[in-house]
Order: sequence, then C-alpha cells, then structure tokens
Amino acid sequence: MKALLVFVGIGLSCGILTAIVAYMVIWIRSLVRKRTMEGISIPVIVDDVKRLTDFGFSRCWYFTVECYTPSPNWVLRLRGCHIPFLMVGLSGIIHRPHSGRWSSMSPQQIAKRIRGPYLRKRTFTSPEQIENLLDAIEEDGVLHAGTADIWMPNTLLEPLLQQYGVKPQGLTFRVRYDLFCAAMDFRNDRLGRKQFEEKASSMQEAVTFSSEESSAFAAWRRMQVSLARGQYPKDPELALSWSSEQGTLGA
Amino acid sequence: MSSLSITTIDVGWGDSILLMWDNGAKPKFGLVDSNDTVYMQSSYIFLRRFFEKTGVDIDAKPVFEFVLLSHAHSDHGQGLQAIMSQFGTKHFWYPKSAETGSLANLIRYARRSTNVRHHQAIDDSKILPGLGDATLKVLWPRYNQISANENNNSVVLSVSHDQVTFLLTGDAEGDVWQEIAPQIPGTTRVFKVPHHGSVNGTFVGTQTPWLDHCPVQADLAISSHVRPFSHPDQQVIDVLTNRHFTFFRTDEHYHVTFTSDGNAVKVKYSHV
Repeated sequence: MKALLVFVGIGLSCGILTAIVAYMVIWIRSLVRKRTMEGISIPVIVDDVKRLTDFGFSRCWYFTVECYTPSPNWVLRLRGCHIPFLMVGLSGIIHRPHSGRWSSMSPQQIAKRIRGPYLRKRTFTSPEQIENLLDAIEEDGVLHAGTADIWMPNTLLEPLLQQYGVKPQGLTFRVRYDLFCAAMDFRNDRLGRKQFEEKASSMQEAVTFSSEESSAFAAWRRMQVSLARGQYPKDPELALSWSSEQGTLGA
Repeated sequence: MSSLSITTIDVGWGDSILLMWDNGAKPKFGLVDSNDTVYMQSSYIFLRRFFEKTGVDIDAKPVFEFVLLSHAHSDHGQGLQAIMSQFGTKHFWYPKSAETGSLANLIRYARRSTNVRHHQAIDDSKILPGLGDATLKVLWPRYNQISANENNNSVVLSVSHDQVTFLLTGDAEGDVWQEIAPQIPGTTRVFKVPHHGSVNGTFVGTQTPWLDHCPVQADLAISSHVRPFSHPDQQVIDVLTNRHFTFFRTDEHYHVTFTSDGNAVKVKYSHV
C-alpha cells in the first residue's frame, strides 16, 4: 500500500513537473513570438496624401510576393518539421532584404549566415539590393513581386513629415507589425475606420521615418525608368509614332 | 457594321474600364486601370467570366490590344500586373509620372515579361493605334509636362466610333479641365466623371470647366470610390442633377456597359 502511495506520489509530482515545464515552454515560445512580431516592421512608401476635411489619410504602398498558379515541391518548415506541400496561392509581404543565395552555399556557410549579420540586416540600403531581392523571388517564374496598399492616418505621419519638411510622396516609413496589421484590416474591410483610428491614435511610436530606405527606393524607381529607356523600343513594330518631332519614353 | 462598348467595372473602389470593339468576326479589347488586390480580384474575375461568356480564347495571348494605366496611383494600377500576366497585352501604356514606385514596378514587369509585347509612356504627342475602326486620341497630358499632383498626370483618352465619342478621364482634376475642356468633342456621348466624382475633379472654385463643355446628351459614368473617402461627393451629384445629366455610378448600378453602334449609345447595367 505504502509503495503504491509512493508510486502515485512520484507520478503526480512528475505530472505536475511536466505540466510546469510544458507551460513554461509555451510561455517562452509565445514571449519569443511576441518579441519577434514586435521586432518586425514593414517599409511602406507614400503614394498619395488626402487632406480632406473628413478624411486625413495617406495611401502607402509596399512590396508583396504573390503566387497565382499552383506549383509543387514546396516545403513548409514548422516547429522543426519539414512538410512537403503543393502551393495553390500565396500572398506575403516583403519587409527586409534577403540573406543571400543559400542554394549555392555549403551547410557551414548557411550556418554562418544564420548566425551572422545577414539575417539581422533589417533595412534596404541600395537599389541593387531591392532589385536582387525581386529577381530572386521571380527567378523560377512561380512567384511574382507585386505591390499593395494601406491607408495610414495623417496624424501619425504628419509629425514626421513636418520634422523633415519634404514632399511626402515617395518617402519611406517603417510601420510596426501590429499597426500594419490593423491598417491591412482597415484596407480589407475587416476593421471600421473609427476602430482603426482609435487603435492607431495610441501608436505614434509604431511609425518611423526611414531616410536610408527613402533614398534606396527612390534610386530603385529611377533605375526602373533608366532600364526601360535602355530597352526602348521593346518591340520596334509596336513603338508609337508621334504627331511632331517630340516624344520619348519616360515615366 | 461594328460596335464599341465600354464597361465601367464595379471594383468596389477605384477604376477599371473594359473596352470592346466588335465587328462580328473577332472582337478586340482594351483595358484602362484595375484596383485588384489578392483579396479582392474584382476586375480579374469580371474579365475572366466576360471572356468565357463571349468565347474569347484566353490562352491565345495577347488578349488585349492595349492596357492603359491612367495615372500612377495604387487604386488604378494595382492588379494590372496579374491581369497582364493572365491575359497578355500588345501594348502597355502609362503617363510620365513624378514619383511613384507602383508604376516603377509595373514598368519592371513590362520590361521583363513576354506577356507585354511593348510598353511606352504616352502623352498628347503620341499617335495611338485604333481599336478596330475606333480611333484613340490622347487629350492629356501635354508632351513633357509632369505635374507634382499625380492626378493631373492622368491620361485623358478620347475614343471615337464614327459619330460617337467616349471620353475616359482618369483622375484629372479641375485645373486640367480648365485647359482642355474646349477640346471635349461635340460628339461625346459617354463621359467618365473625373476622379470618382470628387469635388476637385469637377469644380475649380465655383467654376465647372468640363461640365460647361460636355454635351448634355452625354451619359456620365462614375467609377465610385465611396470607401474610404466618399466619392462621388454630394456637391457633384447635385450639380449633375441640376444640369439634367444622366449619370450611372458603379456603387449603385454596379457594372455599367455603354454600347455604341456609331450613331447612338445604349446603356446596360447590373442593378438599380
């Protein structure tokens, strides 16, 4: 009888200990996840500023990665498991540069990169870096780099705009993950305007001006125009004629 | 005998306009703008079903003679990449623009993709090819003028089909209309109200430049943008009503199709 009680006691203790450990693991995971989420910010670029009496918002665009057509041979890495799956559609947001081309690296090099500065590289610093990222996404012809938009309250952007005293169009701001999600919900009819404004009103610190990225994205835009000019005419038979001795490509 | 129809597609907010010229043999198509996102593919779904219904072989790319981005704002250009990717186009046209990256990304796509045979910035110096026997003419922007206000870089496109003209206006605001309103053809029978029916698309102070030159027998099309900024504005609706114009709006009539036989226009819409 005594032995049984001891056995039950040990069992209970082990159970309680296991439960505590499991709870701690879950708690630490959620903490890490929360911290990771908080650490994520998305670069958004001002497209249009509306200063109407009843609507003070700025439309901003950001890069997306999309997949329209089914494609095989994808692997989902989830909690240490690698799950093969068939991609039937994808929408994601590009928020930082890529960490180099792992396919051409040895496992040691990849490990070094994971620990090294590449994954900590959080912002875009040059047009080539942006272009390389988009090239990498589109290389296999399955994924496409696109753009999408959100609306940000001017009350959040304007203090920063005044500080820098420049034309807002084309400027890049970093928007923290939680604010970005709220803005996406507003954009996609999942959150009302009042609710969004209320939520955003206490999140001034969730938006920061990104000077370096403003320059990088502006240079990337100029790069696209320049490359298009270099290619013109893509199809000489379809090039438009003009009514006078004017007319060149430009954007 | 041919017909020319334009459909203002109800995309929830923003513009998307399908042009179809048909002589009973092989129809030709053009598209102006799209505001699709991954979550709301209104233009794409409309086009897909329309092409299926009309028996267009969408695998025989390019389906479109041209795709035009009226101006470089997201609510007009989003979704064009996916549409060009799925259907293909001979021409991709766009205006010159001061500063927008969404256009840069479309140009990047046009440069690299085989689904776009040619792409080019256009202005009023360019001579555009016709859509069947319909003629296309750019009234705005002027050659080598780029406005800091992106709306005023909008391509104003006149599409003439014998005695009938359709005028597609993008988001060109009152300042533009002060300059080009006298060029509005007297044969205009369908006029897209600029900038979704906003006050600054129609009024300059108390003046209403395009309204003063648009023939009153023209049907007006409004691509509404109710969310998030309440376009069309009631002030614009009031002035259209007071001037006895007939207008159709995508938030009330949904998809609206205007069809010309070269002399007159018939209107068909999805809902009242």
